[in-house]
Amino acid sequence: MTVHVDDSLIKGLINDDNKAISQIYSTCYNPVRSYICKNSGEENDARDIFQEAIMVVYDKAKHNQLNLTCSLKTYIFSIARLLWLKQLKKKQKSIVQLKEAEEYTEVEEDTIEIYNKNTKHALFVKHFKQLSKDCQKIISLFLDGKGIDEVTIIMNYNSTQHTKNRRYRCKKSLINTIRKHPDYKKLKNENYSENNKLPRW
Amino acid sequence: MKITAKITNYLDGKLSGKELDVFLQEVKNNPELSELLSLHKEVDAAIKDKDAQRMREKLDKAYIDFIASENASHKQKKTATGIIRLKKYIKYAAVIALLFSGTMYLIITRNKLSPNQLYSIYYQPYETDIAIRSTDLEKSKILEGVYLYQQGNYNEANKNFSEVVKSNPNCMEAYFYKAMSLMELQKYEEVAHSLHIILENDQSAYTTHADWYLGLCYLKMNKKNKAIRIFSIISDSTAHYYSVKAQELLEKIN
Repeated sequence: MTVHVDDSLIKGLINDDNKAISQIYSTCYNPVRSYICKNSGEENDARDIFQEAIMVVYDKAKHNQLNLTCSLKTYIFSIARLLWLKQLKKKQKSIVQLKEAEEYTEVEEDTIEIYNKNTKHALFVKHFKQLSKDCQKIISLFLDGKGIDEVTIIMNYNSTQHTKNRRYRCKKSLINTIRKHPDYKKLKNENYSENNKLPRW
Repeated sequence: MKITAKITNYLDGKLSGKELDVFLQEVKNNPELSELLSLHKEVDAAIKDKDAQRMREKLDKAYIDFIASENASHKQKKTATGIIRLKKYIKYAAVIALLFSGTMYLIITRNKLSPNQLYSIYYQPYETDIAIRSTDLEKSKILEGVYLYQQGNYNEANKNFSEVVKSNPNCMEAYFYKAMSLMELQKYEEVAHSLHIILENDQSAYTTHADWYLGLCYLKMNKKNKAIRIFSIISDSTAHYYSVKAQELLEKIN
């Protein structure tokens, strides 16, 4: 992929352009899938890891922190490779016989941090969407900056006190569900200090 | 609920003066409270980040499209190889056909089939190779719908896809799987409606399959002329995945 094409794909990604996203899949998915399936993974793993790699790229591009020194395809593959190695380490799978095929590059140190943040956020949103529609609505209205009086009218509640109590109950329920979830506990415990850096293959 | 109220009021900027100082001191001295405060902040940030949520939905859809195009292209390659092999045998078959041409003509004309018969011969439910785990179901209404379709739960699958198209009228994947679910539920008018929407959108990866299934739908609805029109267009386009089948079907239509 030429630099010019990569730039337009990144621009398309930031702008939610379906064609750009589709082209990213057409050009970048297969090497990731091939690598993961050759190294103890399945199609589902490839699908998930690829999506997480794109979310890292999306996050960096949105915050103007993307400085490509290689092709976008190589960059996405490199992130996916790193994320897969992290998964293998979590599953305590032996990675001695790693099958390398595609060219890859070292990715920035904040890649894992962004990945952790993204996966945590995805978990939070998943639990948020499992709340009742009313709870989702009341929490969203306050986060959108609506005042207590306005929310009371929209939700058709009797009093602002009732609105407040409802909001606190919904939020508490959400937080408690998240804290009890095993995936959250795992994410919380992950620590990528110097001691936990992945070995260089 | 008191802690939730305190944290919420703090995040809303509603604490001030002594109340604020006391709260901040509590956070400093209580690691659990500090962690809880961070969690509240992160959860709020996640819920507010509509861009990321929208991007994930788009990536789910893009993956489904990618797999669908991949499947279509693999099947086209298989069909092309089949055609090359078939051409060899046609040379020999042509000699035999010449000898029996009179008898063959009688056999073919006697074996014209009704639209209903052709439908039962040529209709195969659309197979999707998308691998979905039960843990994916909460991620996306579309993946959930595809999963239900794969499980043969066509009623629920149709409900899912109907919800998706209601909130996103441009989601061709949802219209396609909705049509496939309705096909299994034998609601052919609704099938035709969904497939027409796809065909009006030339950019959809599902246009090829929509053509074919619409033709079959018309057969089942006994709208023979409409079916013939569609299958003629398909068979005239040699690059079309269903071109050979359409040709075959047209020869048998009564």
